[in-house]
Amino acid sequence: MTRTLYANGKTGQVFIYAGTQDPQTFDRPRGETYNAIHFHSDLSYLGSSQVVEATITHPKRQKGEQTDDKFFGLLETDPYSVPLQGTHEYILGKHSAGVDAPFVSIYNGAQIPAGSIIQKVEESVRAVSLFLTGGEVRVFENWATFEHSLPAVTRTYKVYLFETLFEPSGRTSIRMLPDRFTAGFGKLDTNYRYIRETDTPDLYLSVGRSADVDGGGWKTSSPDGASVTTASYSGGFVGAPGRGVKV
Amino acid sequence: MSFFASNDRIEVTDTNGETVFDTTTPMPFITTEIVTQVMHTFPDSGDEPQYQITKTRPPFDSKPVGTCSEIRCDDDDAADPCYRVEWDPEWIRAWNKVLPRDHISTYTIGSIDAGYEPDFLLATGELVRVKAGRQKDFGAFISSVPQGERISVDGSIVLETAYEIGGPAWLSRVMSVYVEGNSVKAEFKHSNVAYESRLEYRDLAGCYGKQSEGATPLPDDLSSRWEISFRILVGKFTP
Repeated sequence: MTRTLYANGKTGQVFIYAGTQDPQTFDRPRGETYNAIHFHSDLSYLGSSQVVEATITHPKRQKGEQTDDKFFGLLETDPYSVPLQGTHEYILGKHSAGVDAPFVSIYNGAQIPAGSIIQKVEESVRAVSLFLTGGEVRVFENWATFEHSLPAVTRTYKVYLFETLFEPSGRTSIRMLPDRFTAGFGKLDTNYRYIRETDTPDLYLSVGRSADVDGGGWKTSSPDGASVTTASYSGGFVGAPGRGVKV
Repeated sequence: MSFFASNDRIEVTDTNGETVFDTTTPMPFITTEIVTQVMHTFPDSGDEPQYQITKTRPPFDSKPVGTCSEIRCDDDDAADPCYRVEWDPEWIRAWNKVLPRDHISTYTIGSIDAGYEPDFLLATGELVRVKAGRQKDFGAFISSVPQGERISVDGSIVLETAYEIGGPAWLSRVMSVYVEGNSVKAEFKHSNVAYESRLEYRDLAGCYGKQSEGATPLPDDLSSRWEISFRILVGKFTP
């Protein structure tokens, strides 16, 4: 199909679209026109800002002392370990993307929702969420032990932070230099690293749910196919498909 | 840097020869930004007191011992373990049973243009559990959400979980952000099966014609309240 590159001498807008329609069709990108637009200076784009990757050793979490205290005596006839739980934070690395930057978390090569379990010994669990402060990427751990201790475990986390190009910069419609190309007030710039679809993705983007609850349990199913299910989950959740992108 | 344009393709590369833009490769762009807040309260699931009389006096000491949701203090029924003329205080045990419940609430948190289908959401949120649901035996439900910190909420997140001793989860709660039609939705979903508390209450007064208030187990309070500040980017891939 024909591709059209159009630059408006009055407004400075630049757009590239599929087809040969009147350029005025794309003066104001919206709804139905999105399906034909390859680039538009009024739209906002996503680029890779930073990739933070680190390996963390989570320490052993000891199970509670054994007791036959009558506190639980009604339904427990054997001694049991007092249930314990706690939290801890770890610094994964520095970032400069801003505290509200969009980001995607990867654990052991899988895209994980916040609150995912990263270690399980029988019913004792260790779950994490990755989060941003103003300058750091951190891991929040919540652990709970019942009849089994959680041994120390080493886990590698990777976080892709995205930069968003919302605001136009300067007055240049199109400029070509030997070492740089810019168009659309800086929205298209060879100095920028745009994410693009690929068959060998670093991560997936999706529009649907990635977890469900049923029968008292839960299941996560990420667009990359990774899944975690608690034993009591009784539903049929399969997750939503995603589109893979390279950073 | 190179700029290549033919009838059906436009491609731009940087000084390293890496492709920066190519009309043959779909590239995501942002169509809508949504900044909003949602508050949700997960309701309680309800309770049912459980009683058990472990022993009785002659001539009724051959009666079956069973679990009851109510002790009736009246003329005795030899076959009914819940029907007593009287008992000694140490012979009754009481505990709470949480009733099973499934719950789902959905909020519309943004709208998008008609005429196209978004391909992705990139969502972050600051979540605060204003009120934590709790069971009286083990305390507040386990949550791996850092309070008031910015986490990724693409798709769904696990908000809260509670486990049986030596067993699987009996309560789970998740929150999902997704697109439905021309709306962006936030969905809060809860599921719990029946759970019998490990916390036992002793009857202090016995039953001499009237059920003792001292034997009534306290209900568990499963209700949680969450406040979430979202930043959601709605996006589409180029053709």
